[in-house]
Amino acid sequence: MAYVNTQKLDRELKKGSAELLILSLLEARQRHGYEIRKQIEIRSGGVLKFNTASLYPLLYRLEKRGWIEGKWVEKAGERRRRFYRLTKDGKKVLAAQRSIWESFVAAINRVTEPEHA
Amino acid sequence: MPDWKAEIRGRLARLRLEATLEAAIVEELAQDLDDCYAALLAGGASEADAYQQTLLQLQGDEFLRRELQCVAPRYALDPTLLGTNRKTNMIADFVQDLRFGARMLAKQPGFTLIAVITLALGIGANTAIFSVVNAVLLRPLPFADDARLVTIWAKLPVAGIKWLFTSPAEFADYRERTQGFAQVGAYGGADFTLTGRGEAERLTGAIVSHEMLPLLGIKPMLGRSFTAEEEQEGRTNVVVLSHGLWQRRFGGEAQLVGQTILLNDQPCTVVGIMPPGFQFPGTDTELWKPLLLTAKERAEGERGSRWLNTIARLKPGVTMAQAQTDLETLADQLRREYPRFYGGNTGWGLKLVSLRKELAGDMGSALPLLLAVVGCVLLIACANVANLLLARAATRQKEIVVRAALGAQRGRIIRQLFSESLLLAVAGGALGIVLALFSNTQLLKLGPPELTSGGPIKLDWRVLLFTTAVALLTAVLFGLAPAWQATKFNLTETLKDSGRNSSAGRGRLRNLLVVSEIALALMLLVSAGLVLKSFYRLIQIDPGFDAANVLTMQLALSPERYREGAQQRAFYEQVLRQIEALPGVQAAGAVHNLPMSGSGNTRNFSIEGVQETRLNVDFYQASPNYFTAMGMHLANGRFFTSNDREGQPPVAIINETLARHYFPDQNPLGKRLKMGNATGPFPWLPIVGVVRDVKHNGLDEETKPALYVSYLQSPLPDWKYYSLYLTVRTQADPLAMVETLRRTVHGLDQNQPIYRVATLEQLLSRSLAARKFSLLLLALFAALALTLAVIGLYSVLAYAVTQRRQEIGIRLALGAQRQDILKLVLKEGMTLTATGIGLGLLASVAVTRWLKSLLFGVSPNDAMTYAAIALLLTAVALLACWLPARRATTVDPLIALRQE
Repeated sequence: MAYVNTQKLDRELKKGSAELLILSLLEARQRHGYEIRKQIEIRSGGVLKFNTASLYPLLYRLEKRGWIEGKWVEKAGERRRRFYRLTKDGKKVLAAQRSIWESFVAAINRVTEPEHA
Repeated sequence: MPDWKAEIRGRLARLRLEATLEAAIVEELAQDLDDCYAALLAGGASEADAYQQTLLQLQGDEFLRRELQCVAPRYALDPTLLGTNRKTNMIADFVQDLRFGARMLAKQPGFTLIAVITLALGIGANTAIFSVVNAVLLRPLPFADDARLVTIWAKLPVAGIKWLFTSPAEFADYRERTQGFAQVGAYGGADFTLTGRGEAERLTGAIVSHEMLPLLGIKPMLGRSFTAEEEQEGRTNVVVLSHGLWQRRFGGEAQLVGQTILLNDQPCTVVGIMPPGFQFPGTDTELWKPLLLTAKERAEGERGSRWLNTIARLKPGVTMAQAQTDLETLADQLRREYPRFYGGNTGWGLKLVSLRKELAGDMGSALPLLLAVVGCVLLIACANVANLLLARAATRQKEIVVRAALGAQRGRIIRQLFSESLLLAVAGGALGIVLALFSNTQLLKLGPPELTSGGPIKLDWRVLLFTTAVALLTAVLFGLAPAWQATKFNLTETLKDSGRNSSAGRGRLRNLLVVSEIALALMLLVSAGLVLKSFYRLIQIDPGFDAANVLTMQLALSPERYREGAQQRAFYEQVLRQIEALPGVQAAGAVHNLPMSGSGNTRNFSIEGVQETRLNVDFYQASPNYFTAMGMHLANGRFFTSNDREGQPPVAIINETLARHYFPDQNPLGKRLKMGNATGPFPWLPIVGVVRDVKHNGLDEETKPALYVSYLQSPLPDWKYYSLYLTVRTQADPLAMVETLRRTVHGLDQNQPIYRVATLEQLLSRSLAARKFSLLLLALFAALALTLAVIGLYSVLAYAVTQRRQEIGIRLALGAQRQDILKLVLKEGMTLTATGIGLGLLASVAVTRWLKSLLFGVSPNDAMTYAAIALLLTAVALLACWLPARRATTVDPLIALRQE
């Protein structure tokens, strides 16, 4: 059983879950901000929602850390849009966060599952 | 759609973000809100609801601000500006630029056409000359590892000889007493009469040492080349044939190798056939025979009989300089061993020259010069196109300013303008290649034969690479400066002023370009003028004979059927008598060494009473009427007569140079000379006549002392008249006589081919071919340069006049006379011209000394030429200025003033 540092767990739980969502969504392909917002909403069945004012600061922060990269892309006949994609560093971070998250969920499950006699 | 941007900007205002960063964030967030709003509308919400809900997306903006505050200072979202995308997509940008450029060029077909043609002329001239340079100087010779092939020459400064052939004895020394060469081979030209199969034919061949063919690295296609034994007496009756001769005369039958053919009526065994394309030493060489090299040929007395060319292959690892040192050691030894030939103050020495340089001949030195000349033409073309671009940039100022105002950086606009230049250069280059292809075929018809010594002139990868490089360089040359100028402006000022300032700097640049064009053109014109004057000087030189209406041809007797000298003399006497009897023939002569024919024979001689042997006189054995047939003049004494024959006391005729050198202030008549050294076996020959000097190899050479003897009483007992040149002076067109002469000779002997038929005029002009060719090209390019420069001058003035219409209008309105306006414009044009001419003259003084090899009897700083060319250029420039000046006087002040 993987050992989870409780302090780290606490910190990651608060700050990291939103980042994990964004990084996961950018793993398969690049997306623009609105698309990321919509995907989180759709995939979570409407449970998780970001409004504009809260999503973009996260994107800029991730970009500043070098985990994702935003680029203006011009397509004929459309307005240009800023697309974000995962960087190499971002991929590593995603893998690490994912495993922390899985350990966390597994630990929670073990604690919260009903006791059978 | 509501304007979200204002909303967002309002919320970010306190942050005072950097403008581009703020713009990017606002743009991104606004798009998000747009999407959101659109989705709500699509979901059935009313516009008011959708608006309210979308605004909720900005709730909690303090988080946004906090994040941005810590993000912004160190981090800027890539500051991409409108119209630029530098970081992201350079190639796509470039393609877009090219596409846009092509559209812009297509919009102004007149401008584009003129620019492309101008560039094509410049690039085409460069390509044409470079392809010749490539063929003559750069492309490998068709021999194995040709960089290691060298030729060995002697020089004899005391006799003014720079290129002295090698005697068989000397060749043996080179071969056996040097260390720097893997192989040393020698060859000499020789002609052979092929009989026995079809009509008798005279063939050009070569006599080669056994190393010669292996040394070049070319193996026979069939059979073998020669062995060392075949250089021995009685063993030389073997022959190697060229592929062409084998096909032409023997139908390419493979069994020919091993069979015997008749050459000069002697049976020769064919031992090998060379592969197709093997041309050595000349393009017309059709067979090779071994060089006879016995003790007799190597005897000391034969050292002066120099007729061989020597080629050597450097040993691996040995440099030219090392081999040269090695040769000098040998030369020192020879000077000690044979002081009679090499010693004393003769200055005799040996030198190495690469085979490639040797084969390039006269053109070798002229070609780099021509390349420089076409380089100048290209520069002028570039200056012209740059001028056109500058003028065009002025009309596009608005477009450029608007682009800059929309955020395009200067570098981006320069790239855009430069891509147009690139398109022009590429189009010009493509058209230039076509021009070069066309002109090369024309050039070759006019050029001297050395042009194709290294094989045919083709456009190969080297030429294409060169042209591409030139085209790109051209684009940089003519494109960058105008693009730089066009983007040099103060945005606000220019916008306010609707794009009319900064024309002062542009005008200066245009003037600078025109001045340099004129200077370059003047330089080329001066060069062409000097070469033209040299050529004129040259053809003014009296060759010493009258070339008009003289037919020359070679006739060679079979040494088998005419073994004895007496038989040979009898035959020639009969031929000459019969030819002189023909109607239309004024005189017929024969000589064994004809001026301008490429033949040469020099001998040593002694003067009675003087111990020292005199070196190197041009030696001629001539028939009595040779002098008359050639139109030569007697200075003193008499010509030979038919009484100067065997049995009579032998006599000699000398030329004026010999008389001047060796009998200064004396009457040479009656003085006695002898072939070889004073104690030698030859008879003393009293001088009976002095003839005027004749140029033997070319008009530009110094005349050497010359000695003539009568062919009917040759002092050389072993001399055989295998081959003589006939010279026939006719009343009318000499070429019309060729068939009659051939019939006359064949009437006497069916198996005697006459060959190398040419008029004396043709021979004379052939000797001038390389010079004529250089002159032609130089004149052509200078004319092109003049045309381009004058067009440049014209266009600058014409443009200036249109730019200054208003000013001219004001002047006229204020009472200026049309004359004043004319003067104003002319003065401006002529100031440019004068500056250009001044600079050009200075530059010419500096560069024309490079022309020296092309000049003759003219100083590189010939004042007359400089003055004449400056005058010519001034006159043409005046014309070019007058047209725009005239146009300026027709400006209607009312119309001009109303325009703004």
